[in-house]
Amino acid sequence: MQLVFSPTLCPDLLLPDIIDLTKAAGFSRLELFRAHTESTPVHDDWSVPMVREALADAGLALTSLNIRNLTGRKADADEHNLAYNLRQLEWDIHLGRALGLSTMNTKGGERTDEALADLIEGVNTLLKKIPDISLNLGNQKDNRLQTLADYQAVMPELSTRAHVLLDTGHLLTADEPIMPFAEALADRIGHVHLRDQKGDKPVPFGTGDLPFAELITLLKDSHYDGLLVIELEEVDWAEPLPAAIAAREYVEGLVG
Amino acid sequence: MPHLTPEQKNDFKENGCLIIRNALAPEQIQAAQDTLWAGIEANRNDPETWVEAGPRSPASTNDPAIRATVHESPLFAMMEEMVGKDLLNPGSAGPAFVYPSKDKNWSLPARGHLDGYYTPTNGVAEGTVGYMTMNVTIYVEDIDAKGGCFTYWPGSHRVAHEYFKTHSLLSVQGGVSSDLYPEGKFPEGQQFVGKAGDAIFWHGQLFHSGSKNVNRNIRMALIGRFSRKDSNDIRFETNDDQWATWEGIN
Repeated sequence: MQLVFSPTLCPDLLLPDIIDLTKAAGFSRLELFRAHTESTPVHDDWSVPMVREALADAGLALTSLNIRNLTGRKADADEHNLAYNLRQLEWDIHLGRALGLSTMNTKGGERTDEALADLIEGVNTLLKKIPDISLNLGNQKDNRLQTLADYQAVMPELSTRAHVLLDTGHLLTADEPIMPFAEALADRIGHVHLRDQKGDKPVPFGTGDLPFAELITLLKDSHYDGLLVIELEEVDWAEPLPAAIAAREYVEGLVG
Repeated sequence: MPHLTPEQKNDFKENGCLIIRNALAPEQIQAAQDTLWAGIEANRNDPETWVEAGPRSPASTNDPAIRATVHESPLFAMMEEMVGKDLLNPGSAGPAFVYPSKDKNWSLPARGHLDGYYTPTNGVAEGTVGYMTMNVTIYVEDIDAKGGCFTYWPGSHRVAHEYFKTHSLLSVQGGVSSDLYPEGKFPEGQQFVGKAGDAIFWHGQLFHSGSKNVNRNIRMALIGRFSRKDSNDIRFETNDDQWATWEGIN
């Protein structure tokens, strides 16, 4: 398993500063977000070749890109329009491909029957249309994919190139038991976001409710050899850099 | 036997556009006009009824007479001569009409735009940019100056290319030129004045605009936008050489 730095630690930093922070924290791999963070690769003053060059110059590997959600809706008019939404995701996927990626992360829409149908149809449509990629589907509170039951309803309907993005922070926020979730979906887990929390409050790794040792053991036993993304948000117990270093060292100690 | 001379290809490279006179045969023009007039909500024999008539697109892109203007004329083959054989999606051209205006005040458009950019009403998905390699505007009626001419900014494709080397494709809001040219620095556009059957090729990143029609004739134009089959693999690339992927031009 390979450890990856997430820019959620400092969402206001631009890409050059995130690159510096990633290296200073001892990571060689970085994940980016299409939205929500200023380090997005679609910043006005950055072309895609510039992003690639900056990462290469820093010796960092871009491992993953979190693209827009598959909501089935036309965001600027709040109307149902799956085709429109898929054009947005398709564009994001090709952005990721241009950055050298073959796997992108996304989430679903609202907790409605319409969003469920759109998620299934949309994921299968995208994977059929773009044969050289796979998609990781992330969980989040109040999202179409929040609970184990949500995934158990959706995953059998999807292409085998659709995988589970297990996000521990969002599971804790939703009060969804982590180990039953991970055990039931172990053979479909394609990506892991690690964040420790007390309830919905992020805390230093190893001091919250996340059963790190159990989860890492389960992933090893399941032959998961993918990425472990160290997600730190709203750090208020330390400066960002020492917090990131401490989190990395904690997980490295468990992974071995 | 090639349709284009090296000089014509060089003109396209330099200006981002190339005018082709008499691209359509008389019978192709006639067939296209007949098809288009069947969809126009006006009397073909009474120009008074053409003023501010409609619709903007009175025939389907897939109508045989419309499709023939690209695929049964030399136009598609000419595009392939520049881009490369079998590299373009076949596509077609669709009607884009400008009807005569009641208001006879006319001025040259002050600014142009790039196609493929999102606005709340144009159908382009927010946060995406359509990718066009090469476009063509074909007249199927005689269009004089001030008659709603396709208006273009020669050389602006080179400005766009330089800009996108250091900026996101999404940084140009609505595709308008103000993001690429400083205020007051946008050059004067040129009207494509032509006869029925004339055409102009224009680079996918050439600034252009419609214009007001204060003349008698309907601006009967067909506009085709053509993308490479491998667009999804190259749309985010800004090679140092703008023509690196153009087999007939580089």
